[in-house]
Amino acid sequence: MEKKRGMVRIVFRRLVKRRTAAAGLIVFVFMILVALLADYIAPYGPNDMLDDMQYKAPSAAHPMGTDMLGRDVLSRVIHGSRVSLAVGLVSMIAASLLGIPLGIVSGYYGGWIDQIFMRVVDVLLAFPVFLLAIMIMVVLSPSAANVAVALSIVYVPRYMRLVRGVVLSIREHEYIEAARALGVRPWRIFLFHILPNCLAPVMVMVTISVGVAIIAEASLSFLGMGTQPPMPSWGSDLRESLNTMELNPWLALFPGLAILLTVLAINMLGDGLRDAIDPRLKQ
Amino acid sequence: MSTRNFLLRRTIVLIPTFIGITLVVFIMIRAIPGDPILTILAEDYSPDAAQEYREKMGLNKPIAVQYLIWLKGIVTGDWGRSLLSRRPVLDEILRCLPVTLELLALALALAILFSIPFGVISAVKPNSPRDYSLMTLSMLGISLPEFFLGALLLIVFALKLRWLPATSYAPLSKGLVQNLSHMILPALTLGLARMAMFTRLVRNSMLEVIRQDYIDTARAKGVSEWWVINKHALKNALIPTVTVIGLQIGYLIGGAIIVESLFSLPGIGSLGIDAILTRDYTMVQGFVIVSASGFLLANFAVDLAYLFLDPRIRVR
Repeated sequence: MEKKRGMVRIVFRRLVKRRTAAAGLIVFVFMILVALLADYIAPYGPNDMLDDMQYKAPSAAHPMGTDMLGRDVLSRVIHGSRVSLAVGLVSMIAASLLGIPLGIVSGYYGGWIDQIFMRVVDVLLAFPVFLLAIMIMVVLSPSAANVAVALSIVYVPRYMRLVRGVVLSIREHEYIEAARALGVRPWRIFLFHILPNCLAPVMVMVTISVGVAIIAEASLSFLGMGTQPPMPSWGSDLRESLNTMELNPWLALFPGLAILLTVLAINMLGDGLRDAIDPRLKQ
Repeated sequence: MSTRNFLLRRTIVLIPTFIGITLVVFIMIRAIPGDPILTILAEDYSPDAAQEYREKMGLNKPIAVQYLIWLKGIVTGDWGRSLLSRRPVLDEILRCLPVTLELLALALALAILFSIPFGVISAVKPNSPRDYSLMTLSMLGISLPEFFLGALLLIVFALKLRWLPATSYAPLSKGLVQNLSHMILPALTLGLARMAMFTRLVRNSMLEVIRQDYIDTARAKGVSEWWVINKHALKNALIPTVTVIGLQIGYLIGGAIIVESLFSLPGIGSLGIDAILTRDYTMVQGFVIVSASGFLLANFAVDLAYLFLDPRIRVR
């Protein structure tokens, strides 16, 4: 346990030493705080319609202006962070919780189990990420929760493939063989010998794919297949602003900037994490 | 493995994957809640009419038989009719396909054309201010969602400056300039993120190659630096990039759906999204099969390109 804590500390130290990664981490933590404290920091409710305040340009009272219903854009952007971050984090955590054990079983046992799993994975990977997400959303009804379900399904085969690869490379290592020879039960081998080896690449993939998931949620909502109005979501708010974009460009600008900032922070963090966990990959 | 065997094996692998794709689509359409016959028959619906329709379409047969009948239709070009317009699905798709193909080709061309010089410039002097600025820009590019970038380009170039038309389309038959003036913003929107991604790839791949002994040898022999970089290093650095380009075509196809919808281009993506929003399931089916098969074929084409780029594969 002592050694493990040491490893985490080393990775964290390497991570914060890289300026871009540290900046990414700070912005990401900030966005999470914004999402958690939205009710307290947003000046108005996301759906409060203010009298005679339709389409007001950014001002001191409304730093991001107001929309066609007189809603404060800043408050909607703050509340919109909840949907984006929740869908991004929940979907990728769910996908990894399903994908990791399936990948371990597939790689460890090999044989027909592996064959069946990998053929299914092959077919699912034959669909572009966004297309598969759209297909699943056709079957489910449009909502933020269902977007999370769809994105987890899309990513399970990706985690399976990644973890299986790691397991294949360590399956024949002596310490695994020794554990087997000592009669250690398979689930203990999975949990204590194989899983720790998979965590590093999985963590990098989770971080980077949270960014992809946030863009996917916003894109699905933008197409009218994700979060439904009046629930605040960066993607659907941007869509609603398109018709009056020429006169009120701020309506598109601020939700878009929020997505850009969040995803940029996550990508910088993911990049730094990859270098910190595996210095060999560093160029 | 000989070239012929390699090609043969690659071609044969396409078949089970295609069958897998059709199976997923078949299951998906049947998993949609509600009775599709209700939508298909619309006003003509009655229990008797529904029963008659089921018998006519073989929907009362076992599910495996239904799948085979359906698969036969897909393979022989009978993709059914749109539930809304009643026109054959395949005809509609073929009508929209050229727009999407042009968009994809332009976006990919833009991405490749700019990413190679950017990647090389970055790699030649790693960790220089030039490298840092290019890497920062590419990080920004990767993090920009298509619909936001597209909206920004629309605001600036179409609505404010009025240099380019906003949301409409002109086919190639109306002249190349006219056509390109409508396509350039969508292609840029779609291509920019890939351009950023490829730039990073080319840079990393170049850095890897530049460290190799044969590059030192070339330099020691007095080959000019320009020639070393562009002839000896770049050629090998591009090989791993090609594989990633194949995988990135999946993202391009996904992105095209959004870009077409944003710019109102009459391509497959717009067709698919309209079909989904109006619950035109036969059309949705066609849209998904065409998109997924396109991705499959693109990866096949990349495999072939690899064969010609890297002779080592042929003897392996």
